[in-house]
Amino acid sequence: MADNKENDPESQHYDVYEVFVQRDPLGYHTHIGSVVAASSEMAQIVARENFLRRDTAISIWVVRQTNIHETSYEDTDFFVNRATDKSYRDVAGYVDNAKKWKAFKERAITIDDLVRDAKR
Amino acid sequence: MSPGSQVNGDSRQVTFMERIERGEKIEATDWMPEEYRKLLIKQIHMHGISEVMGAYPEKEWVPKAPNLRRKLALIAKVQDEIGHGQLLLRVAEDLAKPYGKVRDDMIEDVYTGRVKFHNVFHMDAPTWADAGVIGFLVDGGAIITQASLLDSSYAPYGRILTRICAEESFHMQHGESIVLALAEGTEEQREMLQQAIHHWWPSMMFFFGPPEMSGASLRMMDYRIRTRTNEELRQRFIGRYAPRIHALGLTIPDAKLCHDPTTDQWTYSEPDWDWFGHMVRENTGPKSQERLQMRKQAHEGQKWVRDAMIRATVLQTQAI
Repeated sequence: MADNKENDPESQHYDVYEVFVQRDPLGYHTHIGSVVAASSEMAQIVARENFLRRDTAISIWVVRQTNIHETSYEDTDFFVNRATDKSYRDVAGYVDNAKKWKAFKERAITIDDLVRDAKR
Repeated sequence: MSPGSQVNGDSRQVTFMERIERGEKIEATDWMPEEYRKLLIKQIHMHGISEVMGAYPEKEWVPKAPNLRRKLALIAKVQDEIGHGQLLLRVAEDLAKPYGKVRDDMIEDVYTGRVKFHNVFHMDAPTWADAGVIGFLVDGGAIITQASLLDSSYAPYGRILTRICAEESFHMQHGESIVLALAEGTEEQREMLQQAIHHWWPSMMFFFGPPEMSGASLRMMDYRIRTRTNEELRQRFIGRYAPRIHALGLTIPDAKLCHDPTTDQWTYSEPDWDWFGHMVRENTGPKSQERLQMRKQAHEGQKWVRDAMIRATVLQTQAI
């Protein structure tokens, strides 16, 4: 849109940049808000000043809003795949396992036990 | 054997190793030694392709699942495996960019024999109990390996594994649910389960790799791409799963298997390293060729769709 190529400075506006912040090395970049700025470099600085005056972070992504392709909130059909029961796909759908292990005199284990093993 | 000493005077290499030793995480956009990049590509490419090939033994049981709920769960699991393959190949692609490698190359490499996949996915799954034991033991083993990689020095790998492990949690419960149902079933069902345990146990001993690790594996330890030895992972697997199998009143096909409480180590019979090694290198397992053929057929058979999508996008761009 405003690529700042118009001749009349009055008709030029900053671009909107959406801001994504990563808080730790294994964290994901998470959307936190948006800023307007004259360039992507400026957008990073403005984002830091707007969103990270107290919180710490290790990385900021700024993305021109026009480069974001969003789904429509009206198009609920797009997410309709959660309409049917999907307990067969969830851990919560297998709570019986623990009871059955108990009947065999064994304790049920979860993925967290295996993750803890790995850190041991 | 300090990796820094290999490239004398290259301060970037030294700085990089200092970062690794401080426990820092490396991002795709950071400078990295070529050796580190190549080890990562090898590991993550193989991991991604193994996820994709891992869908095949179970997909065979989708049409034959004993009821609708089991069928839906198995379909969900097959979807997850393919999904994990996609996520991992994306991580590998970013690394392989300097070599001009793209998705198609990564996929084709499996049926042209340039990338291997895990031994367990070369094996046959003759009964429904095998479908359960794959979830129970193979996914259990895979989770132990993947959990040990969560702390990998390469952050994009660690991040994506966090997501993969969360989904594997369902795989684990799903597999155990099938196994438990058979274990409390008829004599015939228990016998089927027993056979499946015997069928998969030696494969699981091979799965973690030889106690004496290869040069590449040791270099991955130096770079903290991985932080656990093959033997540590195998010991954890046996420690978790041998007692569970015994609790079900089933046997493990290994007379040597026993736990030493003083060292907390398990003794076990080594699998036939040569046979399994040859199988993985040459794709000579019971189902290797059949599954590779299906993979090739799927990839090449759908080429026209990928091509049409690209042509459509080009036409659309021209029209604007």
